[in-house]
Amino acid sequence: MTARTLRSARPRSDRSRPTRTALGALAATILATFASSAFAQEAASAPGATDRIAIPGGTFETVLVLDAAEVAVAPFALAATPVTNAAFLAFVEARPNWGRDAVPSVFANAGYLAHWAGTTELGSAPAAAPDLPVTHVSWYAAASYCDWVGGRLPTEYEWEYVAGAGARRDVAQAVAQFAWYSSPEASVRPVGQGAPNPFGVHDLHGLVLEWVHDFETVLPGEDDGTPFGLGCGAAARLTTGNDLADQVALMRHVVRMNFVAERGSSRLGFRCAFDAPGNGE
Amino acid sequence: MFRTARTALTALAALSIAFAAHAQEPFEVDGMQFGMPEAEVFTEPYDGPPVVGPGLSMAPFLSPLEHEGTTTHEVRIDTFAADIEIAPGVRFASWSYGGAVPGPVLHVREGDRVIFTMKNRSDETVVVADPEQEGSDFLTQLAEFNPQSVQEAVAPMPHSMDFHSGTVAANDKWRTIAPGESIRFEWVANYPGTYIYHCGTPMVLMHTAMGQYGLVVVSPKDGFPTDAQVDREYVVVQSEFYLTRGGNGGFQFDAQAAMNKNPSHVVFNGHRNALSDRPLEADVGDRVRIHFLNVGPSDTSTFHVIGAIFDVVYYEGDPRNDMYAMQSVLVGAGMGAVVEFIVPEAGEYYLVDHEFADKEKGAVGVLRAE
Repeated sequence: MTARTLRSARPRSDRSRPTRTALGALAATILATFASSAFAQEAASAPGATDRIAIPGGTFETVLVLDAAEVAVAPFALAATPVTNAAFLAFVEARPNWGRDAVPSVFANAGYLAHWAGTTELGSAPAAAPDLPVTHVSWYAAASYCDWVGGRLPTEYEWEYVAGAGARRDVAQAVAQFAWYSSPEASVRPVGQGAPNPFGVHDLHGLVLEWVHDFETVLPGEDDGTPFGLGCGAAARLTTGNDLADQVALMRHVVRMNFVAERGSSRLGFRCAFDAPGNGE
Repeated sequence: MFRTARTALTALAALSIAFAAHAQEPFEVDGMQFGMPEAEVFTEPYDGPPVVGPGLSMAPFLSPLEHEGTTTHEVRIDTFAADIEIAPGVRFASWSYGGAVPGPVLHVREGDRVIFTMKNRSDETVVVADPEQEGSDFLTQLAEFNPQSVQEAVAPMPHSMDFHSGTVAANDKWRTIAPGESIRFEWVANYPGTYIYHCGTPMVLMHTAMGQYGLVVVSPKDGFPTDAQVDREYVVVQSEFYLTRGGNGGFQFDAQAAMNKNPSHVVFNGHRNALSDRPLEADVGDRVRIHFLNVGPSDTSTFHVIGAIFDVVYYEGDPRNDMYAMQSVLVGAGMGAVVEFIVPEAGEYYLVDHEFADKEKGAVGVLRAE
C-alpha cells in the first residue's frame, strides 16, 4: 500500500501480547474466510456504506523517521465519517455472531458494546445515540464490519495522509488536538458536523480515536530495545522536527499502537476504507 | 484475505521470539540487588481500591516505617483520570495515579523490595475520596482532606509507570499498557533517596503535566545522622500545570505553553492552597524535616523557607550528600532533597519557590509554629 514503510512489521518481543495477537490474528484469518465478499453485496445499502470519499494517491511527510521521508499512498476511498451506533447496529442485526452476547472473547472482551442497552438495542445512554460514533468496539469487530460493507480498515499511513491534509504543519490545530486528549469526554457529538477537511472527510480530529488496520505493527514496541523504541527518552528521535504538529502526530501513533485488539474503549471508534477499482491487493 | 494472513504470520514470528526471551539472573554488587524478574502484563477483573499497600500516604503526610531491617512491600497504584481542582475555580480532568495529584507517597527502606501492580483504569470511573474505602492510608487521608475536591472522570489512554527509585531495564518494567491492562513488576530500593515516579509514555511532557507523578521516600538503612533530633516530618511536592480554559467551562492542557515552559500554575502538593488552607504545624524549637520533590516537568525550583535556614540538606535524600547552612536548595525537574530547619519562634514560615515567577503562580505554603 505504501511505497516505503519505516520497517517491516516487526514483531514485539513482549511476553504476553504476541500470544494474544497470534491467536487473534489466526482467528481473524478464519473469520475473514467466513465474512468474505459474499456478504458485501448484502451490506451495500447499510448505513455508512455509501458516503465514500475518493482519495487521490500522493505522498506525505511521516513523522516516524529520523530523517524526513515521504510516504506514498495509492488511490483509495475513505468513509466520510466514523461508523455510527445505528450503522453498527445494522451490522450486528445482520451478523448475530457479532452481538455482544455471542461474540467469542478472543474477538471482543467483556466491555464490547457495553454502552448499548441490549444486544440489538441501543437504548438511552448518551453514548448510544444512533448518530454518535460507535465506540467500545474491538479491532476485530471493526475489521469485520468493514469487511461486511465491502471495505477494510484504513492503514495507518492512509489515515495520516488524509488527516494531515492541509494541516500537517498547523500548530494551532496540533494544540487543539492535544486539548482533545486532555478532555476527550467533552467531545461527544454526532458524526459529520462542521466543515470537512480539504479531502471532504469529517471528524478525523476531535471526535474519537480510530482503529487502523496495522495499529500494532507499523512501529516496533518500546520493549524492542531498538533506536526506534517509543519509551520515554527515545520517542523524540523519531520525529522529523520538534514542533507540536510532529509531537501530536507521534502521540497518535503511540496511542494507537498501545491499544489491544480485542478491547475497545469509550473514545475509540473507526471508519472504513475501500480499495480503488483495480488497485486492490 | 492477504492482509489478515500477513498479520497472522507476523504474530507467529513474535511468538517464537517471546519464547526465546528469558529473565535476567539476579546478582549483587556491594549488597545491592540487581536482576529482577520479567514484568508481567495481564488482564484482571479488579475493581477494588485503587491504592493498596503499606507505607502509602497523601502528601504532606509520610507513613512511618513499621518494620525492622528490610522487607517486601506489595503495592498497588492504579492509574485513571480524575477531575481535580488545582486552584480556586481551576478544575481539569487530570491523569492520576490513585485519584489525586500528586499520587501517593510511598515510604520504604533502603534494601526493601517492592512488588508493584498497576491497572490502567483510564477507561472506567474509579471511586476515590470515599470514607468507606480501605486499602491504604492514602485513601483514608484523601477522603478526610480531599484538597482537590476529586470527582470521577474518564480519559482512555495508554499509560506506564517509571520509578526513579528502581534500577531495572526500562523497556521491560516501565512498558506502556493499554486501558484495561495491568502490569506487575519488582524493584529493590538499592539507594536511599527522594525519588519521583512518573508516567513514561510519549508524549511524556503531556503525561507528567497532566498529573502522573508522585514521590518515593527511600529511608537510608542506617538512618540519617539527625534522625534522633527530628520532631516533625512532612512531604512537599512541587509541580507545574499548563492549563487553558476549554470549551466546556473547564480547563484543559495547553500544549504550546508546556513546550514553551510557561506554566499557568506552579503549586505545592497539587493545589495552590493545599499548604495554606491547612498549614504544616510545628512547635517553637522543633527540628522540622521536609522531604521535598520538584516534579517539574520542565522547571527548576529554588526551595526556600522564609525566616529559616536549612541546618542541613541531604541532597537527593542521601545522607552522604550533606550540605549545611543553606538558605535555599536548587532542585531540578525530577529531583528531590531532604531539608531540616529549626523553628526559631512562634509565627508563620512561608515555604516558597524563590524563583519568584513560580511563587506568584502558586508555589507557596505555610508552616505555622505555636
